[in-house]
Amino acid sequence: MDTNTTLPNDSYKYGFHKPEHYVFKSKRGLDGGVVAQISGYKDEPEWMRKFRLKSLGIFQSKPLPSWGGNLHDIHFDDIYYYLRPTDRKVTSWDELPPDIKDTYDKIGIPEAEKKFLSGVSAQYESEVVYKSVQSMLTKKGVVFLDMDSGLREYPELVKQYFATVIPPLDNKFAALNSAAWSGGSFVYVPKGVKIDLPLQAYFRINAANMGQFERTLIIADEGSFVHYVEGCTAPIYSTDSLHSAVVEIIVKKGARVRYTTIQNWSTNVYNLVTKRARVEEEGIMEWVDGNLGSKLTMKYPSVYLVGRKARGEILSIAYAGPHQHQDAGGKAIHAASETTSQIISKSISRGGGRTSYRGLVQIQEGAKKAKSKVVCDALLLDESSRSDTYPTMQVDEQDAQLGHEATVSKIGDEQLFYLESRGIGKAKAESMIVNGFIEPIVKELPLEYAVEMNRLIQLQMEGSVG
Amino acid sequence: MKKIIQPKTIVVEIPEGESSYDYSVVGNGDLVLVFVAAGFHTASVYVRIRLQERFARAAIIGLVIGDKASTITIRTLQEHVAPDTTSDLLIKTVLSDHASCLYDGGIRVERCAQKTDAYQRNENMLLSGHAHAESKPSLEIFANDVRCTHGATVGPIPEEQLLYLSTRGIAHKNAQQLIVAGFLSHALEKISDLAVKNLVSDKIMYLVGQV
Repeated sequence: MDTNTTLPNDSYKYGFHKPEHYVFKSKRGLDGGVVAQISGYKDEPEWMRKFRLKSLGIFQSKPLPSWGGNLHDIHFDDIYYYLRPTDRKVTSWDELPPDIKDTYDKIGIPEAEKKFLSGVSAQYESEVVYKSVQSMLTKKGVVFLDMDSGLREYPELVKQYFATVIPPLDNKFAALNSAAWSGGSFVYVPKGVKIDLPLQAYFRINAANMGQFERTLIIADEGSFVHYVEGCTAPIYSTDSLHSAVVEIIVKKGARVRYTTIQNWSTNVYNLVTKRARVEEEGIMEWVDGNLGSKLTMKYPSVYLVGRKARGEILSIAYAGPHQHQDAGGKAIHAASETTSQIISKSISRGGGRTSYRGLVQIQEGAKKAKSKVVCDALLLDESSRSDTYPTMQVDEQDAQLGHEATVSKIGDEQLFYLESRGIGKAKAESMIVNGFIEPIVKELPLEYAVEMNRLIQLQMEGSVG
Repeated sequence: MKKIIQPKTIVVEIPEGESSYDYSVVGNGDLVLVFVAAGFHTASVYVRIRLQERFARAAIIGLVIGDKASTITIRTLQEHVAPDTTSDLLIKTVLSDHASCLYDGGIRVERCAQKTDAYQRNENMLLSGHAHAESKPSLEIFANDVRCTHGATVGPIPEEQLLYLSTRGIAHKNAQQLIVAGFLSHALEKISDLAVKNLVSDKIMYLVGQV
């Protein structure tokens, strides 16, 4: 790591930040003026401006959720809702401003590119500033843009699908995002097109008290396949940051979408995200969701199975260290016959951290022969930590088959004894066991993420035992 | 709150309307609470078991048969406030016609209750497409050296079991009753008191005959 960089807290690997450098910054707080300003600044069509203002009203009228984590320390009036770091977009790596390039170097974008990953769209602050889409994508007719460009270049497509999966009325934070969104990705995969390599976007927050409200829309047309990967690291600040994204995915007949997230925000960030996919006939949606960072995460990736034989899978890992609360889980709504879903959740609490699994499986009347399986395993590593499991199952169809299982336990004494008797130190042994515990999910991650995940767990664990 | 100081088996029939059962199990206490709910229109039951002292044990067995438009709400709480305590809960429901059942149960293990072994299971069998089952089993664990597990299932009568019985010349209705009786009786294995076991078993056979 660059020795010139200030390290506010050396226990956090990515805890560096660069001097702020903005072309445009809205005032603190959110009101009609700020929303209109954001919309005007982006030169958006009239319907989007109206949509933002309507959403603002919904956000202001909805109360904070009474369940989940503690949200009362968020000061909505203290947040900058829009920042724009540079005045134009760049298409090649060399054109990026040096300090932004430096930041990306630390989280490894050039390496990602060297590995010929199919497309990189990195988000620095509220705007995508760096983008390199390989000619392969364009040739196949795949659209991979930041959301603002998507709205400009494909207004009809965006208008047709935007907010159809997650309307602003859905919840307070979806409304907030709908009012203040900027950035995020817009992906359209045409009929029958299969993208072999994952699409990647890197996200980063770099201003104190700055909220990020990405809006991602992925449309996978009939018979297509895409794997979208989102990874984030963020620097540490003394005041709390808010991150509230909305991700909408439409999986058409026979298509398959996999969406992988590794969330590693610094531990002062509120991460309140709504992610949902609508899956049509014989489509498959897979969420792979890793939550390691943030102060509080409330995130329940959902699948709405609306077509016959649609399938949804949610794999979730949560890790909560000191002062962290991971309230994660998943939702599967079965609205058509022969739909299947599976939710697998693994959580680890350490040093006073709290993990909660919160989930819903709903089998609606008419969803004949629907099947769902939920498995939640939690590890509690010490006496001061906490683990909760709050599943809900609602069944209105006789033919449905539904199972839920959850276990909470500590690291097995026998396992520890076995490793220690072979000369492995306690800390090392514990981290090996924890890595083994999350293995079933880690093996679903792209290689570089799997390696980073294992390293992070190791770092956290071996630092934890003294 | 009633105190359980020695091994004890209690059988209750859930009445119409609201009812609640609240027990605190101390040192040598070993509670087996069996509740049966059938023939109700609207029932709501709350069961709270507090494992108060070291080595206290409790088993809760709930058997529910809902038909017509009956609705039942079952809320349970297994509260572990002392180390080395054990609790085991199993609730089985069979729902036909427009019957609906909401199960909302919690296990709470306090920081001091190390070496807790807690189990919670809710199994629902739906005999009609209009029946509704909702299950919310939750865990709140503050101690780390524990074994806490819960499970919930919802499903129809297994087809292969029906087929098996039909191939042996048993009429559909009888086969269904046999499978339902078997499903419910499985819970009785946890009752060690033979007299009680037989009593509850007879009761189940009678109730299943009525469905």
